[in-house]
Amino acid sequence: MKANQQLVQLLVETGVKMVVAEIQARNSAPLADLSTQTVLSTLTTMNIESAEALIAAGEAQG
Amino acid sequence: MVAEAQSVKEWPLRFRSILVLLVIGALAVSCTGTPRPSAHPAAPYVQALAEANHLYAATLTAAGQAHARGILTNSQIEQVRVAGQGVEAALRASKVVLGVWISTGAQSDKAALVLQLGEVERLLANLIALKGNAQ
Repeated sequence: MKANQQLVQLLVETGVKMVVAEIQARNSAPLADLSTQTVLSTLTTMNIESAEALIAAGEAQG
Repeated sequence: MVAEAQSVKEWPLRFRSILVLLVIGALAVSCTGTPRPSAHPAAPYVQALAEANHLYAATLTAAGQAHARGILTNSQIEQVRVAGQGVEAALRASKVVLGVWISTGAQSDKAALVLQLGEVERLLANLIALKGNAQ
């Protein structure tokens, strides 16, 4: 049970940080207001990392 | 103690709710919002995809950390890995479909995008639930 609590807490903390970062980024430059060129640029530069690499990165951070 | 345990049990549900609200909210903006004349109609979808991508990355990185700390077993991290690969494929497919829609502007491509983003949301929610339920 204790291990499960630690995992849940870790997930929540990480997730909340990401959501906050997204909200802050959105406030400074709302994508909904961007032009075609900027939207295309945002999509082109969007990096979707592999699941394998992300898990390995987390394991390295420990 | 019981109340604390109950509160902890609710966290995966709350986390999942945040995810669902983010994706649905971004999609809803495209249907009901009144974007400025310079705004591109695909912008809310790009935003939804970016947010889903961030949540995907954060979830898997946290899973890796949990595995390194012995919180997740080898069997559990393998389950998460498989689920994560499903989300990865759905995200990549969404990116392609989104690019096609931006290029063509066709309603059929937009409809395909909405379906694909729905698949991303479903798989991502399953991934987060899988991790939240791990013991």
